[in-house]
Amino acid sequence: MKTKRFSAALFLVMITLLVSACGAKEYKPEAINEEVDKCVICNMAVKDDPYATQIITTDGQSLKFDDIGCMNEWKIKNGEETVGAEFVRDHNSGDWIKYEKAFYAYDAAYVTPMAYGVIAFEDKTSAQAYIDEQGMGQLLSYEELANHKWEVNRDMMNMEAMEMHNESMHSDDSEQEMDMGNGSEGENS
Amino acid sequence: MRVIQKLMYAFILLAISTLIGVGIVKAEGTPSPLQVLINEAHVGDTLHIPAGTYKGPIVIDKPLQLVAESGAGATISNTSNEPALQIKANNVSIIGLTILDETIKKQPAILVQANDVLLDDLQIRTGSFGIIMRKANNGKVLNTTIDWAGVVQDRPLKLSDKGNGIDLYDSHGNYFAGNTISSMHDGIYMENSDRNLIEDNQFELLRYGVHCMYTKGTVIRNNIGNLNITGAMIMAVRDVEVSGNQFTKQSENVNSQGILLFDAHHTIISGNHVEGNRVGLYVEQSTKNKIVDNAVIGNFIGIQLLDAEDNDIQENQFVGNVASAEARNSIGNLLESNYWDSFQGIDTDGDGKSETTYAINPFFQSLVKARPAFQLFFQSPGMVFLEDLYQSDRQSWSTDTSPLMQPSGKLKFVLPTQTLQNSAVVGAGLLIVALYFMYLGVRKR
Repeated sequence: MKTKRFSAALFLVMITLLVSACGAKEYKPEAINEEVDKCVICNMAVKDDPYATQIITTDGQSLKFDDIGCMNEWKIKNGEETVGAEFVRDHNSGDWIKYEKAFYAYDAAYVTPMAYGVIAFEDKTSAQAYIDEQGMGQLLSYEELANHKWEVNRDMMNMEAMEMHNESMHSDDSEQEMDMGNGSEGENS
Repeated sequence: MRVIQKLMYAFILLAISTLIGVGIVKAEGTPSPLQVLINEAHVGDTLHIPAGTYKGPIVIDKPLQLVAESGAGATISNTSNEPALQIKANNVSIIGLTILDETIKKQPAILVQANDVLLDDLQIRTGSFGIIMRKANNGKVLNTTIDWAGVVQDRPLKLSDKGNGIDLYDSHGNYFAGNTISSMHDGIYMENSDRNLIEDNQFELLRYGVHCMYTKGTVIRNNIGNLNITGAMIMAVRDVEVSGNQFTKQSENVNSQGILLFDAHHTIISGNHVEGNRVGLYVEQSTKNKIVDNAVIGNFIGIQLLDAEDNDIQENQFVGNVASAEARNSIGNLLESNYWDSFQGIDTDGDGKSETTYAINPFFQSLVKARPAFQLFFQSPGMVFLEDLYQSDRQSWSTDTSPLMQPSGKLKFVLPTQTLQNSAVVGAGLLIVALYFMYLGVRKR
């Protein structure tokens, strides 16, 4: 009698577990595998470092990116309907965190794999600490990141126009020209 | 008496100052004898370094020439977290030295922050980066060997532990020739760096042999790459020349390719030999490039075009690839006069070119874009059958309008065909054994 009641209870528990698992779909980030993972956008190998990001699609596929900028590029190209969850990694610990829960530091001069210069942190203080440590950059919340321009450190299209403009000058000047480019971008931010 | 007192005071003062002086030197650590030599040298001097091991880190902050005495092994050995050798002054030359810098760290073996620096005939063994160049223009790195020597304790080595062989940022007009770079992260990495010339180098067992990010006017000529994940990774560039290079066996990684173009525009890819790679030429989101006169031999996929538009692809030879070409969403490309050995054309007017066209089926690439795991079915009979059935929107496929009937010129094969001979021997052996067993079975009855 007792065992029967027990098994009935167990059955009930199992059923509730099953149902709840079906109802609330939880997306979990996959670990980076350096042997096989490549950025869905730029084709570069995704390294197991804090710059890596990923999208889990609603049908459970994991899309990995080597730079937050590439993830943004994917959303521009493919829309956000199929996005189940987005993950970035805390720059200090490398832990996966939800894209919308993270805080971001941006500066054109930060070096990231695809030169977008955006770095993720799990909380505001560590993001601010990084900016203070670097002596440059600006703090962005997830909401502010939505309005971010996603410029890469060196805009090749702009540069082409600039080069054409400066065609008469000699190539020796190009170093200076680069400095100017970086400097003005820094000022903008 | 007074004089004696004064003398005494002076003596005491002298003694104290010497003591303090010694103390300061001790605090800094005894400077390497080589550093002392450098500090004492005059601008423009040439220092001949006798054989022996010299302790790093070494800093050079004036124009000097350091030459290892001929036949001698002069080595800078560094165990600090600083660069083994840091060059801060223009017109410095380093010739014939060996740099041993096996500590895993952020700083490179050699850090160059000046113009017109010559690094010639060096042997670099590093646990970080080989050479980092920052705002270093018109320099030369010649005949130098860069090798990975770092050891990670307690865990397997990760790709991200390694640094690049030569790493450029904001460094223009440099010349790299005759170097051998192996087992590092990327061979030569260039970011925001223009007009660098990379010639006659060897790249082996790296992630990417040559890696361009946001560069203009780079020239990559006559290099040899073997067993890297990718031979040349040409990303976000304008006006790059990739010519006469040979990339073989970039096939050991699931994402391998001989030459990859991504976001590359107005570049020239000519006269290259890509053999035995996963993908020979991989072209994505790239426009107005000229891909001509390349030999694409024995790869799994010869050429792969993804969202690539308005490129000229002419006079290439595609021989012995499992699939000659794959393309998806690539329009406006001019494909002409290529030789595809998998294509059987009809030449009615005898001009050596087929009157029927070679159209590249986008089915497989579209499928694996949606489901990457379906790459498992690459060239499986069912997949080939489905591919043949798929014909929709054929006029927008990438199409060679006049494929060649015969390969032009003589084809050369770089990779040895020995494996084939071996497999023939093994096959024959197996056959003999099988026949023997059959004979035994028959005899028993």
